[in-house]
Amino acid sequence: MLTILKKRWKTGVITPPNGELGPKVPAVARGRLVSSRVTPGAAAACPTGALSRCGSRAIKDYGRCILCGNCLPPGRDGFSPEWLPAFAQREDCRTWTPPAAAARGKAGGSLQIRMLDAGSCNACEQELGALASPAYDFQRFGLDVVASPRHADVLLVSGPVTRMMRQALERTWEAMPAPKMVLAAGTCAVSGGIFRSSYATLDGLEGWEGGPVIWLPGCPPRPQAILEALLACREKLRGS
Amino acid sequence: MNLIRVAKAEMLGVVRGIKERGGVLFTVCGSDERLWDHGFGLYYVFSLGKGGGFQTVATMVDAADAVFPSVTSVFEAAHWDEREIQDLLGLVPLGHLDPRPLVRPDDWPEGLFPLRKDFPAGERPPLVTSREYPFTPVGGEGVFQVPVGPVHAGIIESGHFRFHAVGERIISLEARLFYNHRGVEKLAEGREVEEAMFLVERICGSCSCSHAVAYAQALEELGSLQVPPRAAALRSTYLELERLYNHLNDVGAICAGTGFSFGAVHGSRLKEEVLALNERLTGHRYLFGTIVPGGLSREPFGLEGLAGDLAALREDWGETVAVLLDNESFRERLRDTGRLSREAARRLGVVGPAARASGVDRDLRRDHPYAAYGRLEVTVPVQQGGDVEARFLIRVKEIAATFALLEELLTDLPAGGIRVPLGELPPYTPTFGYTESPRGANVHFLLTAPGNRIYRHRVRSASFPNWAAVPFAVEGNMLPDFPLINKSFELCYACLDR
Repeated sequence: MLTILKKRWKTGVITPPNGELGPKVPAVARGRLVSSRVTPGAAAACPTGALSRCGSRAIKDYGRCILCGNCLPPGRDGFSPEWLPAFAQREDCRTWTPPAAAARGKAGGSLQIRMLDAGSCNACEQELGALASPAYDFQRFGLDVVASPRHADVLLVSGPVTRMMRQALERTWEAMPAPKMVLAAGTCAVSGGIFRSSYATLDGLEGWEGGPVIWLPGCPPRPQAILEALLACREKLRGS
Repeated sequence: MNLIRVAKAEMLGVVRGIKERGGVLFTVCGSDERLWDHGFGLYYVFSLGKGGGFQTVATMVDAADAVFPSVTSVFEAAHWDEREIQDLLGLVPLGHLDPRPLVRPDDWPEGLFPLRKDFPAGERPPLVTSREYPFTPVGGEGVFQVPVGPVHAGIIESGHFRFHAVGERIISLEARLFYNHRGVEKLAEGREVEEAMFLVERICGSCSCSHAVAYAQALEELGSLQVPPRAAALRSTYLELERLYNHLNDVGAICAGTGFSFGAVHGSRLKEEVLALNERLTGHRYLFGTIVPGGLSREPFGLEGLAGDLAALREDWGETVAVLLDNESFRERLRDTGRLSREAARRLGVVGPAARASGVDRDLRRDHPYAAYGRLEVTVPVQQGGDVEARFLIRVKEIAATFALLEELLTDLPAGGIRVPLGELPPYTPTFGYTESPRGANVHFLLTAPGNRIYRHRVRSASFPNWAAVPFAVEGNMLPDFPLINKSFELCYACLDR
């Protein structure tokens, strides 16, 4: 018991203050692709079809970008550490229309999350899991992952939606009480990502018409990005 | 590659001979070779133990007679591999004790095999209502059936568990997995080998680097390439960092499974510190985009100060684990829970920490060295208990060994280049690469087509043999202990399902 207290004392508080979502992001982080750094004519190098073949805008669809850097010069320098924001419409990932700045870290309200892995590689799950760690501690914003869809406000979907998870997705969504919404977390859930056009997947939530979706690309979206998107969901549900 | 081609009818005899020489099943791959031959190629790769190398046995299955003798009577560990071949290639293993579907989705049409070359990539049969999966029936007075999943109560990947219990005692568990099957192997086909790397590192987010290195090594073996010493040392560094964050996570998860919040919170805190180190070094918390065939994509961003940070982390971890090891009520909770016998671990071909916790002394880093492990002193801890406590202790000891390896790697990091060109690879030539991931042997088997494109890619990760062993460790335990036992294996669904 004494050793536990001693270790706790020595570690101190590592959770950042309430206005901040998490630890500082290093400058080398692969947050988003910088359009001007993309090698001209690199569209063929993109494994997911996120780049346009012509026109002035190099990036056609942030919802397809897996941040691999194959379109960048050797060494793959050309990322900004800023994470991609959550988009209100699937189309906004193409036109780059980020939502108005969310109420970051604002206290008040709560949001109960049901997590559904629809074929993710596990990286998105780990980043959501990191939110529960003391470095982020999402419970301080009134957020929590619940054990039943009946208790949930938002369905967090990761992965490209596999054939086998399609039915589970529908049933989970039906079991949730209104008002409710979906957070498509990660590029796979937005568009299928690198798993697009497989016999076993359905290209993410792109064609899904079950209800309102917030779109968060990233491979994986870092914990701060997921937290910010969840807070945006909280605001949106509060308004409804 | 040490490969012998045998006729289908001689297969079992040859395989039996390998078993007598102490061979262990390493991977299995089926491949549609009707393009240049008269049927399907079947490859069984065996490890011959420390210093013994590998032996591959290949046979041809005629398209007109699409059956083959199951090797499960000799190597039981091949049971899921052969069911997978049946599902995805349509070759029937004769004499297999459990020929039910394994990988294919429940609503998949009969007679359609996605890994055959005449199944076009991107084709999606129409969605229909799923058939009921034929679970093994369990009967008797007072037997309850408890279905769990595929969606779970927390942040857990998808899979279904069918328990049969009398009171709280589990009498059988059947795991129906492959809910996360994404068709990765088909998606890889036809891609250029460099581009396929982006797919490979997304097979699994928590052993991404292990997959990437195994895949790269398969190609390098095929092209007879030697990566520069600096690239080899940095690959080992990244692989050990991956082991470190996974083991810290798993120790925390075992604590969480017993409700010991001190260990759970410190585990997640320390894991986060390693993820931050990964990002500082490579720009990515899970090391995506770091490994390329032929070496590394770039020099690490910030090696300065890394050794000091790791030393501080080691001390921090030392203080944390001392509390866990000293806590008898916690240790007592792990003891005798979820025991996997040495005999079962051997029979089912269990790998990694789960095998070493059941007294099976195997580690690819020592037995078949790759990257920079050949010149390093790799300590391989072994426990005999086979219970949750043994799997916990294995990880604790491996964390200590990993810190030592990292220190050794960083004090003596070779200078020089980090990448060599891959060149033109010989087409249709089988090759494989492997790593000891945080969960055990991770094997990538490949055939390439002309123009350095993937022809066939089979991935057998550590979770593949280990998932089949979990039900054996669970039987006889209490239902509420299942999460703890499951966490002590900490297997990956994404790795298994692909």
